[in-house]
Parts: sequence; structure tokens; C-alpha cells
Amino acid sequence: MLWVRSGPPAVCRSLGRDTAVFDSATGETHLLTELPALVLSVMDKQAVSVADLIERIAGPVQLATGDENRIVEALSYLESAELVESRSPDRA
Amino acid sequence: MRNQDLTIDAGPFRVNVSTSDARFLDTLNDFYEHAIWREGPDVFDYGIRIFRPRNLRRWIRPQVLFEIDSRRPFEPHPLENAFPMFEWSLNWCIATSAHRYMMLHAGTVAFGDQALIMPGTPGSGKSTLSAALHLRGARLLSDEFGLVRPETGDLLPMPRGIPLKNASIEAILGFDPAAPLGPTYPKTRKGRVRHLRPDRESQIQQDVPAVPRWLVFPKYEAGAKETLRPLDKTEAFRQLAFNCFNYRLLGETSFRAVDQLIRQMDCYTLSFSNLERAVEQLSALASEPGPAAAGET
Repeated sequence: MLWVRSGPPAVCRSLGRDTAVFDSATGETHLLTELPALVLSVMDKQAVSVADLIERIAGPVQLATGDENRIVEALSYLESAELVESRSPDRA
Repeated sequence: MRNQDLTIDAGPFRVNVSTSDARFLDTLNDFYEHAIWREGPDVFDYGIRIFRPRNLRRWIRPQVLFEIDSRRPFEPHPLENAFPMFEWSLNWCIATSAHRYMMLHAGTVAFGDQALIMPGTPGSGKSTLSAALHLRGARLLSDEFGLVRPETGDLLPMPRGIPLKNASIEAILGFDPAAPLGPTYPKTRKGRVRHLRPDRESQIQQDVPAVPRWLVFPKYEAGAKETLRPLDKTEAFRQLAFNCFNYRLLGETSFRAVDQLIRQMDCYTLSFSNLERAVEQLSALASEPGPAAAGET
């Protein structure tokens, strides 16, 4: 599965622990905890895999399975909020 | 009585009122003595007509109609409720058109040039608290609208009569028996209503903005101990956006404005049941030194 942020860049404002995000594509405001906000911050119009995202966030490191699952959960949350989209590799 | 025209300043709005109802005119003159133009101007934001219908209800159980720019958006009200109808209808006019500003559903008062914003849904106690703080010397900005100029974050005054409903009337009279309240309207759609008149200073300074400094979400709870608790920025952002009439309409403008407000204000919740103690807690906030640092949680 690949992930992409196809809309215009989201407007993000740090609230300390959390991040407020305005999505001009939908007009919606979201309040994100640290990990979803971090994942969103490294996404753009280029469709990427989870491994690509991990490298963008943390460099060439090997994450534990649990950590990778948390990133997948964050992506699922962002997708439900319509901030990112998932695509199969043949549609990338 | 012949029709008379009055022009009243309501903060950044100029309102022309045309009516022949003597009792309503007397109340307007009493409440807004320091905000009424006796001559001119000829340009205003809202042109309102308050008049009796030309049918049987002109004489039998007489009613009054509200007309704005030749439209009649509301059902008739009993004639004796002309003043509260005017107040609520003007609120509607502003809430549905004044999107030049970000509009918070909030009571707002100022201590010097610094503003306390108290957002809340009906029943939260924001109007009663605004009235009590005003009676203790705070400048009344508004009991209903926090008008924010988005590009600067300034809070604009719009000092109007504060409608106290039902038990709040007795609460304010218990707080200050000499409170300048207007007539009692026993049978409005919101129950029994009396309005607190804004003082002369608040009316004269209604073109002087205030800088938002404290954000307090009040919650009246019978029997509750007065408790002022700091509120984290995330929850403050959520609740402030929720209490903004036109947050979605203004889009990114309101997002940035709410973010800026949250950064510059100290944020709290206040549970209360005793008005005197609640006012003491809020007044103590206002006496604290120094503004909040930007980005401070």
C-alpha cells in the first residue's frame, strides 16, 4: 500500500503537545497528537510506502514491529480524516 | 404617535431604528443615551423598522413586527416585548451578516485595555458573569458577541443591554440591589427577561478595542464550588472554535485567528454556583501582573 497527500499543503500550528491542522481542501480543522502530526508533516504529492515514511521521519533505521504498526495506525487515522489517501502500488 | 428615527452606535455597527411605539422609544433612549445620534448620520449598517401590523392585531392583543431592509424574517411578537425583540433580532442581523469579523459566542469585558473572554452555550452563565463583572467596574464589551478583528486579534466592543433571564435576574439583584435594570418582560420566548443597562463609560468607549488576555469557559452548576482550572491549549482551541459562530465560514482566517488568540491568552475553565465568589476569582485573574508569553502552554 502506498500513501499520499494529494491536496494543497495543510496549515499546521503547534499547540505544544498537539498540532492544529487546517485542510483547505475540505475546510476542516483537525487536532492531531504527535505521531499523526509528524507523519503528515513528511508527506506530499509523491506516493510513498510505510518504509519510505519511516526513512523520511527517522532516517535509515530499523523500527520494531510495534512502532511500524503505530505508523500504520496513524496513517489510517489520517485517511479517515481525509488528510491523506491510500493507493495500491499500480495506481501510484 | 408619529414615527421617529433614531440612529444608535452598536460597536462597529450603526443602526437606524424607525418606530412610533412610545414605550419602546423610551427604553431605547434610556439604555443607549450615550450611543444615540440626535442628528444624522445618513449612512448606517442596519435599517430597522419596529411597527404594529395593519390588521386586527394592531388593536386586539397588539403585536409588533420587525423589518430589516424591507424583509420581515421573524414572527410578530407581543407589543409589550418590542425591546427584547429588537435586541434579539439585531443579534440575528449581526450574526448572519458581519463576517468581516470572527464572532465568538461569548461574554466579554475589559479591565483597562485587556479583555476577558467567556465563551459558552446558553445556560453556562456567561451573561450573568458579564453583568456582575460590569457592575464591579469592568468595561462591558458584549454579553453575547466576542467580535474579533482577524487581522489584528483585537476584540471590538458592542456594549448593549444584557438580557438576564429568569433566576439570573434575582442573582444579579442579590449581587447588587442597585443594578440598573430595565423593565420586566414576563412572557418572552425565553421566559422572564430584564436587561442590565451598560454604563456611560462602556458606551462612550465603544470604539476602543481591547487586547484578549484571559480566556475562561464558565459553567454554572448548582452547588458547585468555585473552581478555576488551567486549560491546555488543545482543549482551549477546540472549545473556542466550537463557540465561534462563523468559524467554518471564515476557513483559514478563523483557524489562524483562533490559534493566535490561544497563544496570547491564559486559558481556564470555571465551575461556579456563587456569583460573588466567581467574580472574586475572575477579578483576581485581572489583577495578576504581566501578559502571557507567546506559545506558553
